[in-house]
Amino acid sequence: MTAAARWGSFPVWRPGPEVRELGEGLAALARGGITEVLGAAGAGRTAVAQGMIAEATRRGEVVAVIDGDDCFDPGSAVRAGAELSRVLWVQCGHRVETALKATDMVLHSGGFGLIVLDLCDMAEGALGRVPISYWHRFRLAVEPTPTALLILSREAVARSCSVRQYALRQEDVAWRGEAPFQLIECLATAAVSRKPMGRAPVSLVAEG
Amino acid sequence: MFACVVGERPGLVELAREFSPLVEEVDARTVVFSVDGLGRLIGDARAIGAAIAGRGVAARVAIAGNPAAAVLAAQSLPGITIIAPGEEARALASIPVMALGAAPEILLTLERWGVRTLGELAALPEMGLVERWGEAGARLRRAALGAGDEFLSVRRPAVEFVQRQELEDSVALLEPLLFLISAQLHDLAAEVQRHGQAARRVTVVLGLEDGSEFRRVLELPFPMRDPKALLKQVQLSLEARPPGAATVAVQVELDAAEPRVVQGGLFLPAVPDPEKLHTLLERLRVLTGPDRVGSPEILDTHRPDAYRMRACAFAQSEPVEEGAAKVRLAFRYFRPPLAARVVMHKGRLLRIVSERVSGEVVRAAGPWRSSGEWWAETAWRRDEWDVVLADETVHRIYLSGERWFLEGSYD
Repeated sequence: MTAAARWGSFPVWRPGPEVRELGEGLAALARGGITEVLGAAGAGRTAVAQGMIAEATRRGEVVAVIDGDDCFDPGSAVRAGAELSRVLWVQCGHRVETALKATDMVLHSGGFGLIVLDLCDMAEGALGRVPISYWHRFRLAVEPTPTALLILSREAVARSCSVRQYALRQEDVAWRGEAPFQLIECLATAAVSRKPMGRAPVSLVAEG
Repeated sequence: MFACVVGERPGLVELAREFSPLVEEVDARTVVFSVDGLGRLIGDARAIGAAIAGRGVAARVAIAGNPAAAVLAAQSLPGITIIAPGEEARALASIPVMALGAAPEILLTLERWGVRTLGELAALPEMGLVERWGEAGARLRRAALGAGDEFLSVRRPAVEFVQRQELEDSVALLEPLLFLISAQLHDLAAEVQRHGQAARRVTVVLGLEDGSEFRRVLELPFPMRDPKALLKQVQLSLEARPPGAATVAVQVELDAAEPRVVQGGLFLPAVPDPEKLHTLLERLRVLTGPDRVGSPEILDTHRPDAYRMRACAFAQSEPVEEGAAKVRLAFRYFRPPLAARVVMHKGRLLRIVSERVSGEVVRAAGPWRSSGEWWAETAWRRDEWDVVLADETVHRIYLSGERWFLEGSYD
């Protein structure tokens, strides 16, 4: 196994047939509402968001990525099929307050098809101190628009203000090749829709 | 009717503007302008010609029913020439064909034919000229006949959009200062709009109490006319870098340009309004820092995490009609990379300790060795591992020199 083989085979996310909502891409998001994708590190939250970004930009929409912890990887977005020229990336320097202010500005500016607010690596204490009025403000701002606001975090932050909520959980990491030069073969995660909009809980499998 | 004046600069255009706002500069010594409507003011065409010549700037003056005939007559005939409508061909007949400014090969051919004047050229059959020279042949014959249907290519006079206000009392706070600037911007934006133009640059000049002058020039990415958008730009700029003393004079100047023309698609996805987007970007830059907002662009290098921010410009576009892209596992960078301490035993990774991520290594793949750009300061050389920690998180770590770093995680 060579390094070139490694670069050329970045793991692919293949939703299983049982996926009903997240596997449908942008259809899983609430237009004019807040959608939360939750989970621990390695659960696939970013992969879901990158897929949404790719689909939105390919449809000609403009996407804003409010990057709370400066962790967005443009390379991953391109591998997912995104057009970076239609992405506005705001690096918030690990500050929750900056991320929330930036989201508020982008929401009120209008014209974005998808806004991704990435709070995955923010300190839980800082997120817990955010008043619920912030999320109400976001809900009211996004409601009359065709914009989808997608929030990525470990735990639910928008609470009652979100329209849809998906909780991801990593189940397994499989490898291929001979040790020690192995590649990630499959990263399986389960997804549960906590606000299923009348649908049954779903599951999701990520593979490489 | 059109008048053509041939003379020496300066003063030629100004002379023409005394008679008409519709002035075309043909070349450095020739201007042509409309004299319609001057009959009741000055008199007939001969009186108008005399009035123009009486200014003393023009060497030759011609008045004709179309600009092309007027220009030909003024450039070739001495004194004042008045060509009545329908008399163009006869009036121009004695002018040499050289005056038409045709291509050298056409003039050479005409010379070989023995055609030396416009009258002789006009006598040639039109179809024959078209067969030989195409549209150029027909155009030459029309010019020789003094028949032209061209419009004047009018150049607007340069207008300055400036307002200055001297204050009775000095203003120290930004808010009342912006109130004054807002009033001037609204007036100037309306004036710019009346001229069918938009602002591409805003210059704010503040006279300060200490006698110095504060100047701020805002280059706009595209011409704008919305005074609110312009005011927001000025506000953000002044808030970021305010003047150092109280203000006693306010001057706002707009540099005008042709307005932006955009054809939007009714059935295409909406994009941010350019004026609002520009304001949004400025506000975000103030909030986060100048280099932290933009569209990412991946650099053409193998160096990990190589990207740059470039200016955003979103236009409506058709959807890409390709099949659905594969959703891949994504990577999340720690920026900057986290310094880590790695415990190893007989070449095996046992434990990672860092500021944010620590744990026993359950599985590791690597090292994957890479290096590059040895010729530049950005040279790198490192060994990478993908590791699964006990808490099931998957990370990428690397060894650069003697130091370990945690680069990011798979998610």
